[in-house]
Parts: sequence; structure tokens; C-alpha cells
Amino acid sequence: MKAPTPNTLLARGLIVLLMALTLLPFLSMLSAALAPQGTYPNGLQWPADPQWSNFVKAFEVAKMDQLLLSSALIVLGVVPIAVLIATMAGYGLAKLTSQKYKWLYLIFVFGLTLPFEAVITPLYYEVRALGLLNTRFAIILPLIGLYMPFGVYWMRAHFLSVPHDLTEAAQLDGATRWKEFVLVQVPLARPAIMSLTILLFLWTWNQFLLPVVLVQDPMQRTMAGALGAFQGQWGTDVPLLCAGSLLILLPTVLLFLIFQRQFVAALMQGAVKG
Amino acid sequence: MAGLTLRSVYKNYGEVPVIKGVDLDIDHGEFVVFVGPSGCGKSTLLRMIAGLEDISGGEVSIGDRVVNDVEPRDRGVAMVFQSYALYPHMSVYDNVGFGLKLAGTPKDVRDKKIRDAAKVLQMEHLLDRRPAQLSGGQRQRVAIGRAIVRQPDVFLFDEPLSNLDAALRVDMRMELSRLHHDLNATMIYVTHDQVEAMTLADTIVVLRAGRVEQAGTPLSLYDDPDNLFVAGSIRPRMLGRPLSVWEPAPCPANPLTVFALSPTARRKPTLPLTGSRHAMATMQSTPPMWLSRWAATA
Ligand SMILES: Nc1ncnc2c1ncn2[C@@H]1O[C@H](COP(=O)(O)OP(=O)(O)OP(=O)(O)O)[C@@H](O)[C@H]1O
Ligand SMILES: [Mg+2]
Repeated sequence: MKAPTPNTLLARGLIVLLMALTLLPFLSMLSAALAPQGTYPNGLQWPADPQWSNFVKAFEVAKMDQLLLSSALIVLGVVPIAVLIATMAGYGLAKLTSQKYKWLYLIFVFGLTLPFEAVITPLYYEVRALGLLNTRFAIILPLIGLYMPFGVYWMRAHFLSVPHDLTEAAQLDGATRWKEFVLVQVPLARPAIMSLTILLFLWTWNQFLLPVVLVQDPMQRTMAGALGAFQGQWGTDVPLLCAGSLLILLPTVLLFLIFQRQFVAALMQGAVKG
Repeated sequence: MAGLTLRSVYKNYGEVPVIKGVDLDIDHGEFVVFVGPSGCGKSTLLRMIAGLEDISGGEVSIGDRVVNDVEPRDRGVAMVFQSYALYPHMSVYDNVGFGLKLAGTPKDVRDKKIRDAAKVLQMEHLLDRRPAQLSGGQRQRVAIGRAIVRQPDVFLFDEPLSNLDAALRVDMRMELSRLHHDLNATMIYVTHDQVEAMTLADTIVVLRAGRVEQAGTPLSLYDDPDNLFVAGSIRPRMLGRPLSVWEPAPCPANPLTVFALSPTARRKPTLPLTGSRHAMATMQSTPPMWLSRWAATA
């Protein structure tokens, strides 16, 4: 084995430093979450007597079980439909659109330039007009729409990379467009669909702005959105707040640990293509 | 039974004419080879017959049916792409059986047909593999297998052997010739390789810039080319071009010659014994059955 050069040592040192910087706030939160209730922990020292019961309390007062369910319902309402539509639209724009209608795609690209925050006010009035305010649909329907520019862009990029002669071979084999899409294109698009699903899941789970603006009842929000209400209610009880925040983080972390590879692949794909 | 008729067929890409009035009559069971320089429109013509390109003018008929507006899947044609175009996510078995599955063929019938095709193409041991796990020549055979299981009326080949090494090309050429004989189907074949053209074809069609320059049997084109262009396409040696290793040369003394490769060739070779050494080189391994039969009659 070769001895590491000073450069690699430096690089490793920097990585360790970065990791420490990233983890530190979470460790600080953990130490604060374990402090006795009613105290004002500075988050820099490990409490002498860790109060693990704070987590149980936070779970109960924030009604985490209901929040989990609500988040899950929203994710289930958004992600499959958004992925399905984005996949079909991406295929259509990549493979079925003649030169004359190429500009349709530009509309989606334009959508990419609009930040969520820019449309939140009109969205509020629209959702109200639809009578959906304070329901989970107020989060689900706008999110599906707001994800379309990215989702369509993502899937179209993938379908463009599929050789055209596969389409032609399928046609000569007797496939209709639908059959070709379902039996040839979708199986080949699995990695792209997988990564899109993961990204949309993360964005939906961590969605904060939309739930806070469009839904009053915390129990109808996403977990991250509910955190807003939790903070308003328990803002003075720092240990409890920290315990609650950590609990809300937990599902994404667990999911990340399970799907680590796919996450990394998804992000790498973005790096190469984007 | 399906012959093929092209009646003053035109193709324009935007303003650019690519096929400029092609008339062709192809009989059922004929093996037709398109030759011509790069960019003359061979692939385009083939794709128009398959239905993968719109027809700008004229008529294409398969059998008695005008197919200008018929979808590729309803034309009864199968195509072998130069790039093979195998479905990467399916096993060889599923690749070959995909068309049958779409047609709703019952599973046991399908299975039998796939295994028969695999046997003919000597790829029974490959059925469980993915395309990525195959060599170029094996992929080639899968692509051909995919075409033959559906028993189409018309086969289209776009330079199917161009990615193979010389030895394998000779093998595959023989296999194709045998298939043509066994299946009794119409085949249209695009190639740059004049030996391939001479050995496989019943009819050679020489294309030039979107027009048919001359069409006829290999021998008639060789003996009696209409012009220098045709002569150059069929026997470049005569025009002082570099001698191709595969110069075709029939040789009565040696039955393993190029014209003998066409199962329908009945005519006795009349040409001088040039280049028989090269012709020898093109044929190795044992000659197929019909070849010996031909040798007996020659
Ligand atoms: N999509 C297209 N748009 C415009 N022109 C095209 C298109 N496809 C092909 N062409 C043109 O049509 C002509 C014929 O192309 P084609 O692919 O049929 O040639 P070919 O005879 O098969 O050549 P090769 O032997 O190199 O494969 C070429 O000049 C090509 O530039
Ligand atoms: Mg071509």
C-alpha cells in the first residue's frame, strides 16, 4: 500500500471537518432534547441526566402518530400521480412530438424558473375558490402541478437518451404506442423513475410553505408543516421542541439509510445530466 | 404469399429530395439486395417499406395491398436493424418472443416457436441471457431470431452484418441464405459489400442518389452493366479501384465459389477464372447441403 500523500491527508481532514460541521447542529439538538424540561439548555454540553422521556412526551403532545399518517397520505397522494404524469408527459415530449410542437416543452422549462414562493399568493386564492382550503387536497393538487416542470424535464431527458430504433423495433414487433410505453419504455426508465420518486418524496415530506399557508389544521399538514404549529405552541419549551424536531426528521433519515444507494444515484444522475 | 411493388416512390425531407422516383417489382420469395454509395437512400427506401418513414409520393404495395397509410405493425414485415435494437431489459428468450406475445400467441405455441428459432440459429444455450451478455455475432442472431419467429411475409435487413468480423460474416451469410431457402419469404437486404450482394441476391438493385440505376440478377449486372457506375458497384476491380479481398469470382473448377452461394443460381458461370483464390478464402467450413447440390448440377 502506498502511504497517503499530504494532499489526500488534507482532503480527508477537510471531509472530516465538514462532517463535524454538518452533524454538530444535530448533536446539539439531541443534547438539548435530553435536557430536563423547563430548562434552557445551551446545547453544547451533554446533560448529566438525559431525559429520554422527552421524546415520548413530544411524540404524544405533537400527536406524531396522526402527523405521520397525514404526511403519508399526502406523499401517497402526490408522488405516484406526479411520477406517472411526468413519465407519460416526458415520453410524449421526447418521442411523440413533431418539430412543430417542440415549443410545448419550453413551457415546462419556463416553469422551472418559477420559485414556489412566487406563486403562493395566487395559489391561495385559487385553492380557496376551489373550496379546498384546509384540506389535504390543498397541498396535494398544487404540489402535483408544481412538480411537473421538474418531473417532465427529468423524464424527457431520460427518454431522449433511449435509442429511437428500440421504438421502431417495438412497432415492427406489433406494439401499439401504449404497449411500447408500458412494456419497453417504462422498464427501461426504471432508474430515472426511481430517482424522480425519491426526489419528489423528499420534497413533499419536507414541504413547509404550502401546508403552512394553505392548511390551518396542523393535523392535515405534512410533518414539516406541522412543526410550524408545534413551534408556536411549545416554542418556550426548548427540550420538547428539539425532541419534536428530531422525531420529525427521523423518517427521512431512516428512509435515507434504507435507500442510500438509490439516493446517491439519483443525485449523481442530476449532477451528470443537469 | 407477398411480393412487393414500388410505384414512382418519392421521399423528401423538407425541401430535400432523397428518393426521386423508384419503381420496383419484387416477386414473392425473391432475395433482393440494395447496393449503392453511402447516402444514396438505401436505408430510407427500406424504412419506407417498413413504414418507419412517411412516403412523400407514389405507392408502396405489399402483396396486393397498398400500404402507404398502414401502420408498421400491420404491414407484415420484420426488420433487422444494423444496431440490432434488442430490448436491453429482456432475456434473449423474451426478446425473440416479444412479437408473439403482443400478437397473443398462446404460451406453449410461443415457447415452441422460440425454441425452434433458437435451434435454427444455434443459440439455444443463450436463451436466458441478456443482450448485454452477448457478443456482436450472438446479438445479430437474436435480432434475426426476433424477425423469423413471427413468420413475416417480408424481411428487411439494413446492413445486418457490417459489425461482424470477416469469418463470422461468412458464416452468417450462409445462415441467411439457408434461412431464405427454408422460409420461402421475400427478403430485402442493404449492404455495402459487393460480395455479400453477389452471393446472396437473386436480384441486385443498384441505387444512385435516390434513383434505381440498374436492377437485375447478379450475373446480368456483372456481365452486362448499363454503365460505368453499375460496373463500379459490382466489380470495382475492373475500374482500377483497389482490389477487394472479397472479389467475387465464379470458378467451375472449385464449386465453393461465390455464385454458388445463391440457392437459385442455376446458370453455369461463364466468367474467366479470376480471383478464385480469394473466393476460396471467403468460404471455409463445410458447405451447406444445397451448395453440394448445386455443385453437382454445375
Ligand atoms: N431525417 C433526415 N432528415 C434529412 N435528411 C435525411 C434524414 N435521414 C436521411 N437523410 C438524407 O437522406 C439521404 C439518404 O440517407 P440514407 O440513410 O437512406 O442513406 P444510405 O443509402 O442508407 O447510406 P448509408 O449507406 O451510409 O447507410 C442522405 O443524403 C441523408 O443525408
Ligand atoms: Mg443506411
